[in-house]
Amino acid sequence: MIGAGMSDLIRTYRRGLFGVTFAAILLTLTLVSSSFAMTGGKVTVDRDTGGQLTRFTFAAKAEAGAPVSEIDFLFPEGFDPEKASVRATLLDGLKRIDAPYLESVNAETRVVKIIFDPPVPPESNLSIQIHDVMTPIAGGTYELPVEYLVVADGAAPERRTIEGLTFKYNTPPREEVISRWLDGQGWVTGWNSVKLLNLFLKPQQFVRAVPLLFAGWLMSLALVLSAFPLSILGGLGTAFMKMSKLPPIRWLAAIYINVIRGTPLFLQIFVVFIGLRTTGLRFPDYISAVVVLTLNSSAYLAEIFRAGIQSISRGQFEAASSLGMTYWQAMQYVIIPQTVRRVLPTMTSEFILLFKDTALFAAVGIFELMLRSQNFVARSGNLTAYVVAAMYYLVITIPLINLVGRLEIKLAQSEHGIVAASSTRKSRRAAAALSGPDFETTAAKHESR
Amino acid sequence: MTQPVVRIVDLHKSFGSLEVLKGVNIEVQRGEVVVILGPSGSGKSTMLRCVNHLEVPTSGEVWLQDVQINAQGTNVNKVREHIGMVFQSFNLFPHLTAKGNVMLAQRKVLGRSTDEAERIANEQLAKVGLSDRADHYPSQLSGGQQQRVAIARALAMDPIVMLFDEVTSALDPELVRDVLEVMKELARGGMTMLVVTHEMGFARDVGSRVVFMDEGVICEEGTPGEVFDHPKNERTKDFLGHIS
Repeated sequence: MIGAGMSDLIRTYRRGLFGVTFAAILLTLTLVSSSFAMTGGKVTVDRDTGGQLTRFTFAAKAEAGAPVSEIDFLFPEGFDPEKASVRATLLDGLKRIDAPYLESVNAETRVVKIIFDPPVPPESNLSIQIHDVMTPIAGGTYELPVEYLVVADGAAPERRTIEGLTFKYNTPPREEVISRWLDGQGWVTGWNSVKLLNLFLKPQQFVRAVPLLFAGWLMSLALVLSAFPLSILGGLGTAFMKMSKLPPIRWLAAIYINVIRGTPLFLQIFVVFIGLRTTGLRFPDYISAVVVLTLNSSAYLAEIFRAGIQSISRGQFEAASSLGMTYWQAMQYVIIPQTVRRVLPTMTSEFILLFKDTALFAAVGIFELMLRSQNFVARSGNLTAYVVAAMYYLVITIPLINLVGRLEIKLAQSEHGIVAASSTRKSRRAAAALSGPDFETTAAKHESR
Repeated sequence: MTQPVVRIVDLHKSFGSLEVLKGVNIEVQRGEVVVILGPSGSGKSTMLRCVNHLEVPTSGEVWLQDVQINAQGTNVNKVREHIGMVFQSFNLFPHLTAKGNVMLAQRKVLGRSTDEAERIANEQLAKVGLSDRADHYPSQLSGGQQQRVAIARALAMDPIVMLFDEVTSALDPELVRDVLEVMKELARGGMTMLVVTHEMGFARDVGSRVVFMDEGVICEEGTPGEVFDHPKNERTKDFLGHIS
């Protein structure tokens, strides 16, 4: 009947040929599968990465008229069920049925066998948990073949197979593997038994935090590397405004510099971020952050540049002028080149400050180093991520701090002909003392920010 | 009489309420070496600095040939190209070598090519006896050497007149001679020079005219012989008496 109806359909709706064929196939499959004793078979795992003890959960429904006496799980190669244990639950509707069972594990053939005695009653829901199966590290989709015995009344037990039951997980990241390996090391256990070491320098947390915070470190660097070159331009511009002959321009620069230097960067961040959002101007957070950093650092650099320019003796400008150079020629060829050498150490210090200040953007949700370490700590309840963050900051700042010292010595040597020994504390103090009174005061003020 | 190279007419200069120059008149002819003497604070350096407009006169006129430097609309930088000046504190550019110091303004102001500027720099450094120091930085040179580089730097611009502002005052006595020697050579070559100095020997030997200033006015002027041997003004007598 159905076939005849279908023929009609096919004849009538030639265009729907494929769709109808597909429907027919589905129908046939449903009819066939209903003859199996178990339906709705499903396998899930409780871990999303491999290489660890994992719980497998198998759920299915025993069909009518076919009690199941035995279920075998045939784990694929690479899986190790040696330590596995089984928990089977039977439900009739929502009611739990008492179902005694025997379990056995064959580590060699990787078969976990469960024998129900008496057999599982028809139409009950079956849930089997296999605990502590070691999975291979490599992630992917695996198939778990399941075989079972059906005991029909009087007849000999019939072995049936469910195929196509799949589960999947990912390959764990390298730090995860190392961390798990560390879990099993004796010295790590010893190390972690010291409370402070465990809290601040737990090896397992350390190896996890390093790759996770790396992105934050890049973000912090990107922020400061975008903002600093802009700040140099802004600072130069503002410095020349501050030295302008026209009072209004001088005042404008002075107000800008004083407001920025007289308020916390933290406040400036909130003003720009929340202010811009309130006015409906919505820039990407990264742009806003670069804008705040540039506005802030320009004011500091302006004072560094102005002090640097004014620390060049008036005679240099007069000598350039007496040779017929214009103001800007004198600036470009005589004053600025000398200023650059003089302000380089202070500028480097400003860069260090700015780099550290990127941590404040954690408060407005930019995923830089600080926020990432905070999140990590919040999740793990362990402070190791802070130590890792500190290391990421120091990787940049320590070499730069060193550079500042060497620049100062070199500057003192070139300007005063001092042949200083390497970076001894004495020569460094000499360098600081010789950098000129006006300039040094401003620099010192800046440092104390 | 030909047109004077430098002409200063009734020059006044005040710093706030302090009047430093109270009406100075000087004319300098081509090839003349005018030595300006006087006690500290007499206004001689200020007068010199007014000549190339490093100080802006309060009133009066300063002329270089037919251009009034302190007139409205005068391109001061253009005039300064023709006036060489040497300072007491050398003021070499510390970030450039001796040769670099001599080349910079030639290239940027006069627009000479690097090759030409370098050739002239080598010539001028040879003249002041520093060919072997051309690639040294100022910090590697003695004061006398630095001052001679400064003279070479000014001369490389082919100035019409040279201004010397106490150029030997900051030097150790043994280094003074080399610098004075260069200046004497320059004078013999016919350079027009205005020299503020305390070197009486130089004034007597090289000066074609000596001007004595005190308290912002010119007290006496004449040939070295007249001023040194027969001073008429009381203040000149007093000053020369103290010196010798």
